[in-house]
Amino acid sequence: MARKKTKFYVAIAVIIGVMGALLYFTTTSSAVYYMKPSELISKVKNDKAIHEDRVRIGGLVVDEELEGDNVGRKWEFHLTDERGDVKNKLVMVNMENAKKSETIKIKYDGIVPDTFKAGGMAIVEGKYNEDGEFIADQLIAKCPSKYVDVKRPDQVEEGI
Amino acid sequence: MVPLLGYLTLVSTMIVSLYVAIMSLVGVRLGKKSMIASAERAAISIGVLVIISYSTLLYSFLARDFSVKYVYEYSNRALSTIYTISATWAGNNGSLLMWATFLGIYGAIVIIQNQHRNRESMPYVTTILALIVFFFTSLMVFISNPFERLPIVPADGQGLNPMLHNPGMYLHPPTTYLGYVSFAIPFAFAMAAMISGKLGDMWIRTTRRWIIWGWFWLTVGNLVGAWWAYYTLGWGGYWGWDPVENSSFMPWLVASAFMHSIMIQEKKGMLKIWNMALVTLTFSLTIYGTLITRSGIVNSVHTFSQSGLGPYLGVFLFITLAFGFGMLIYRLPLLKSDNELDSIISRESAFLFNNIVLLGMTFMVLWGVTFPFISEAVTGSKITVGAPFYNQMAVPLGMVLLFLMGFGPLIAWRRATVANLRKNFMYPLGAAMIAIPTIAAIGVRNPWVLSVLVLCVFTLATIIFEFYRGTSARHRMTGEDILTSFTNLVWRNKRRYGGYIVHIGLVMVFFAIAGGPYKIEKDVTMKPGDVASIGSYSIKYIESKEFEDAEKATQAAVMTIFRGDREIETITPRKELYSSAQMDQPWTRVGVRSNLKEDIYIIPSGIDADGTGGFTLIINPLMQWLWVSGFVVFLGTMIAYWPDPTEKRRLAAIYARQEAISEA
Repeated sequence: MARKKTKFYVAIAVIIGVMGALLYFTTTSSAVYYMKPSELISKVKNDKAIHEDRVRIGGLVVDEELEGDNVGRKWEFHLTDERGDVKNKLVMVNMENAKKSETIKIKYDGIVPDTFKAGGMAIVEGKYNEDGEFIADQLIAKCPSKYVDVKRPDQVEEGI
Repeated sequence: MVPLLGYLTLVSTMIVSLYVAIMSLVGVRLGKKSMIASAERAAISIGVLVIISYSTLLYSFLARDFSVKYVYEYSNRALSTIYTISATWAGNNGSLLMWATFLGIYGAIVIIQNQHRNRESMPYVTTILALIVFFFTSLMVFISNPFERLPIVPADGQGLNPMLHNPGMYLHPPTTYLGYVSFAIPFAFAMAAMISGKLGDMWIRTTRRWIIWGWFWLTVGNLVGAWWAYYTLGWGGYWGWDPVENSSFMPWLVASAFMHSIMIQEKKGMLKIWNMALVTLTFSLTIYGTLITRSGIVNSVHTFSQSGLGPYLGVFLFITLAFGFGMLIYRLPLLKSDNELDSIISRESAFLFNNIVLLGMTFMVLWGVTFPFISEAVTGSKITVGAPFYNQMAVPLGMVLLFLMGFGPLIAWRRATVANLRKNFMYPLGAAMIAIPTIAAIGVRNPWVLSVLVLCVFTLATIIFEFYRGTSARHRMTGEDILTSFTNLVWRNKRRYGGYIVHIGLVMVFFAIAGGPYKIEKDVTMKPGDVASIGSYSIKYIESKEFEDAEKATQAAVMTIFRGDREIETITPRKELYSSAQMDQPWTRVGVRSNLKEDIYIIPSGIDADGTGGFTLIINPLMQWLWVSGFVVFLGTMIAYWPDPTEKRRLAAIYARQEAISEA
């Protein structure tokens, strides 16, 4: 009996071990830093190696008007840190503050989701080059301000 | 008036559910049957109350009562009736109400079904379900009230997010919730079994149909979510390992493991502890899923509101886990296995390994979701893992599952002999051997795709072989004709063969996924009249058209697909601009042309005033199999779910014995 049990424990241990190893190697090979734009800017100052790494940054899209080229590709825009007040205040107010702070210029060539827009949130992945431009090849957008509880009804008339 | 009625119904549901929980618990502790009976009647009334509450919300929407904040936020006058109905579950508050409504109805059904059964554990079941109802209704009463009023009645509402103007809105959230909520029932029965100390497998036998029901709707919810993402989000894929997708995938994985491991308990009296752990985990993960989708704590492509619900759901999740595992530890001495595993090569161990891999996969997804937070806590910098991580993990684990799906059903219980292995696997292995060069010959060289396809063939062959063997044995023994013996075989063993049909559906899912690496994608800029080629097709951009209706202005690109000189179809990918001030951005509608081999999928990125358009052309191989699989899973589930006279008789005998004991 005991021997039989041992066999099972060994089999289970092997399976879990293999899955654990797979998890470890996959994690290390696909891990990407996630930063706020300001963190990336300060990181670059003392760590030039970061230009070589793939990085993910997420923040607020500050450009007032967003235009790709005439067919909706080759986008250029700026990201800045998301602020606590995004949730509670009008987007425009928030944008005025946002533009004063540090931003990173993002270049992205491709289709953007419909939710990608000024005043919305975007997460991009790519590399931050020596010229201070972030060349993104992936873009996820979400727009926390548009359909959710940002505006109080009494503010609606003022419009954005 | 009506919204007030809705709110008052919610308040009464909350009070009644608390009453039910207390009465039922005290009644069983004191042995007062009248208290228990009163609690049960009240619990059935909860089912009615939640329906009234939901109906009032629906009425407020249809009546365009913008004095209700939730109605104002999620609909407007231009919204069609059909999407006005679906707007009731478009936001947090309505979704919570839907949760509570399903749970209230399920609870009432369970109590009616068990009026004369499981009398020793039912009071606890009632208490637990009532407490869950109490939690959700108090969330609505105190924090996110769907009937909250506005001080000034606005003239019009904000409208519904155009992404939700889609049949998926009907198919995805309700189905997912139908599935999520179902797992409250087996959880309640499992906990009741542990509290009452009646730890047989009655909780499993009683809730088997609920488990199948829940699993089925979770499957449908996930598939329809993928379908919706594919046709509406317009990025050319169907699954992005987004935290929200993950949060509905995890309960599905654990539920699948659970569904298999309870068979071992029913048949062999083993894995009792494991099953208790799995039912707690499944239910907790449905709460976790609700937490993720309803609290806005993770970065997701899904636009859900940031809400104050997170902490409450978190605490509830913690209590569920602590209670479930606490009871499990307390009852460990009573959960001894009746049998031991005999051999590594046996049906039991195939089930066990299937469970370990499914749980491993769940852990991997959970790891991916929480890794940024862990790394931030440990190293101070946030490190994320993206889709490549999940794919690299899921592919090998998925292949093991696919293999076990073929291997498990053909292997003997207890201990497989070499003769048994040879007899059962000769043909399937032969089929797989033939499949290797055949698939390679049609040009599939990617080793991963090749292996998955070969495994698909193997698993499909084992299932077909099972059907063939059963049918021919029956045909020989009874002398019925082949078709009759086939239908009788399936109909007399509904669980088994229904399960196999579900497996065929899952093989189709793997088959569809295997097409992924052969996706072709191409960005083009075209003027009207231009032709672009992709794969074996050429696509002609005929013209750009503009038109308007009450809700929106549309800019459509008319594109004709040719194969060689033959015209196949004309599709119109387009951009829509909704007139509502809240949606002043263009919405992309992709154009898709499908057959079983591949989809041609066109995303318009932008169309210039002179008609020049940017398009992403994509060929997605084997996509339709993913949607077809849903129907096969449906068929199999129906068969497994269908009432079975033998099972009914067996259960009736057990219930009769229960009653005899409790009356004695």
